[in-house]
Amino acid sequence: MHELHPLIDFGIFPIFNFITGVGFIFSYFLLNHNFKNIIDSKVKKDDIIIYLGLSFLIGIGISNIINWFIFPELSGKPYLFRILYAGYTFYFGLIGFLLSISIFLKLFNYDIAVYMNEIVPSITLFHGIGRIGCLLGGCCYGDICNVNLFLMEIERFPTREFSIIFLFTLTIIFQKYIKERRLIIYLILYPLFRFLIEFKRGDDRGHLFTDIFSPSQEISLLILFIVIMFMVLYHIKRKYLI
Amino acid sequence: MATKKRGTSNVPMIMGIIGSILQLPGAICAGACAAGIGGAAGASQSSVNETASTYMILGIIAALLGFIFGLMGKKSPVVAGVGLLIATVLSGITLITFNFFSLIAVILFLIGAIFSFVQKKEEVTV
Repeated sequence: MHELHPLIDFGIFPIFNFITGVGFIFSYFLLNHNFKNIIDSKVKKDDIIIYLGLSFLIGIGISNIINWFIFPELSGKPYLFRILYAGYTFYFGLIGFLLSISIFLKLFNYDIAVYMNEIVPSITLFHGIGRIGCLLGGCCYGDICNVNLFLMEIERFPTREFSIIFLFTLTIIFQKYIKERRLIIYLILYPLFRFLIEFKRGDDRGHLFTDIFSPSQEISLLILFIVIMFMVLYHIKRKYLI
Repeated sequence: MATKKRGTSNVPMIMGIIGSILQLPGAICAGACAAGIGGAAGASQSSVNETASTYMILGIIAALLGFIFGLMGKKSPVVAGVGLLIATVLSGITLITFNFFSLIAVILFLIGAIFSFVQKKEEVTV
C-alpha cells in the first residue's frame, strides 16, 4: 500500500470498495441516460440492471480466482484467506463481465451489438471512478521517479492519476463524439494505454506467461491481437465474400 | 397480454449496493471478532476457527443477497423486499460480534426493504 498523503487516512474503512460501489451506481445512471438512444421497451431497459449486476459479480469473482494463480504466495492457503488477500485485476474482471453480459443479453433476446455499444461509456466511467478508489485506497501506485515539477516534488510516477484522466477523457469522447463501434475502439485504446502505463507501475505485478512483461501487458497484447485479427477477418469477409 | 406491477424507485438498488459493499468488511470483522470472543472465552482452536468461518460466511451471504435483491427492486418489488429483509436478518446475526460495518449494512438493507414494499408501483403489459 502507498498512501495518497500522510494526512489522508481512511483506516479500516473500505474506501476502495465504497468508491467502486459509487462507481457502479453512477455508471448505471449513465447507462440509463444512454438507453434513451435505443428503441426498446422500458421494461427490458430496466431489467438489464440485474444482468449487469450478475455479470459484475461474475467478473470480480473470475478476477479474484485468477489472482490466486498469479500470486504464488497464495497457493496452499485456505480459500477464505485467498479470497480476502488475492485482490482484483481489472482485465480478468472485464473479460468475465463482457462474456457473461453477452450471454445474458443473448439469453434474454436483447440486441447485443446495440446494447454493448451503449454499455462501453459506463465501463470507462466505472473504471475511472474505480481508479479514484485506488488513489484513496493506496493501491496501483507508480514507480519511484523523484521529479521536480513547478516547485512540486513528485516522488512516484502518477499512474493512477494518468489512468483517471485517460478514462474520464475516453468517457467524454464516447459520450460526445463516438457513437458507433465503441467496444472495438475501447478494446484498442485501453490496452494500448495500459501496456504503456504498466512500465511505470511500482506495485507487485505478479507473473502470468513471461517475465518480460507484466500480466496486464501480456493481456493487453493478447486483446490487441484478437481485436486486430477480428477487424482483418471482418474486412476480408465484407470485401470478398459479400 | 398480461399486466404486471413494477417498482419505480432506485432506492432499493442503491441501498443494496452500498449495504453489500459495507457488509463485506463487516463479514471479515464478524469472523475476526467471533474468533476473538471465542478465544477470550477459552474455546478450543478448532471451535474458534469454525465459529469465525461461520460468521464470515453468513456475512458474505448477506452481502450477496443484499446486492442481488437490491438490483431486483424495480422488476419484482415484493421479491426484492423479502430478499433484502433476509439480508437484514443475516447481517443482524453477525451484529452479535459488535461490528460497526454490519450495523450500517443492516440499516441500509432495512431501508432498501422498506422502500421495495412502499415504492410507487406502475402497471406494465408483458
